[in-house]
Amino acid sequence: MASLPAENPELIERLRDPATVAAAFADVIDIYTEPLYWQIRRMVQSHDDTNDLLQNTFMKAWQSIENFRGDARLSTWLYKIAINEAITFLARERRRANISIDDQESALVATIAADEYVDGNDLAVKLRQAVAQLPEKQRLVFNMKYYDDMKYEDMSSILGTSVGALKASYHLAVKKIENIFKISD
Amino acid sequence: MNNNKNILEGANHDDGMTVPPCYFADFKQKMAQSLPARPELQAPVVAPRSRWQRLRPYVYLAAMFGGIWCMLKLFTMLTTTSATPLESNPVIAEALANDQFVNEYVISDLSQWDLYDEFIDSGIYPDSLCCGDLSNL
Repeated sequence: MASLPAENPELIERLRDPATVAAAFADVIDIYTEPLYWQIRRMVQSHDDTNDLLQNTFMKAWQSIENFRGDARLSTWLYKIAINEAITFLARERRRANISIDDQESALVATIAADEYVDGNDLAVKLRQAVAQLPEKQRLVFNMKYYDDMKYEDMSSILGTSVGALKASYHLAVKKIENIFKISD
Repeated sequence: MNNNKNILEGANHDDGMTVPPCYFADFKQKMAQSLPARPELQAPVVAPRSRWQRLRPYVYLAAMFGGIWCMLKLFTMLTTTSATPLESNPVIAEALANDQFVNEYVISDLSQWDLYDEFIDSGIYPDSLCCGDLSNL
């Protein structure tokens, strides 16, 4: 669960070269599968949904690889696709089940409780359930900062939000989590 | 408050989530294999050019200059009068070589004064002529 993988200029060059793009993209999958998986999983909670969304993320990246010109970092570009996939999925699920955002937060808490892929750390599960009750944007910011230890500058380029707003958002998220634990006590 | 802060510290940045065994290795392998082919990403293959394809631009260029030259030649022939001297015309040259023709058609055009001058130039003076008095002319 590391921060953004380091940028590899040689990999970028290979992605730009039509002769090596396919092999280079296999390397991209190799490098980014884990960080993107955790990023999506912390948003949608379910392993199966995460698996589908991760496939969609790589498929979309592959379909539009010619649009990646190296202006942005590769990791930023992939994270944006992954986060968009996760947010779109959550919105689609809300429409499909005809539920509000609050109801969806409850559904996520229930999904966490029923999650079979956990390591038995109860405190971690409780924290996940608390995080799942945060608004979507705050949840994203909290996940990136607390779990991934991502720099605010990197988060800013992925989420398109100023560093100041992200700091405020993280601070609010921590406060809300503290309140949730207070109430549950 | 401290207790709540301890929760964040106690969780130690661990979300407690796991994945099925060998999930990432399998996913990477399956994902790389399932990527659809993107032939449009490949550099276009340039077929070797035939000799005619290589020469064609030069042939077209030569044909164009040839056409321009022909047009100029045609315009010149249409717009300029013949600069050939009369003497070069074989019909006229033959006629001029004929003394009778000259006498009848060329010299007959001479006035008497021209004839007089011709005589003087030739060393024939009026006085030496037996016929007529040319001094009164």
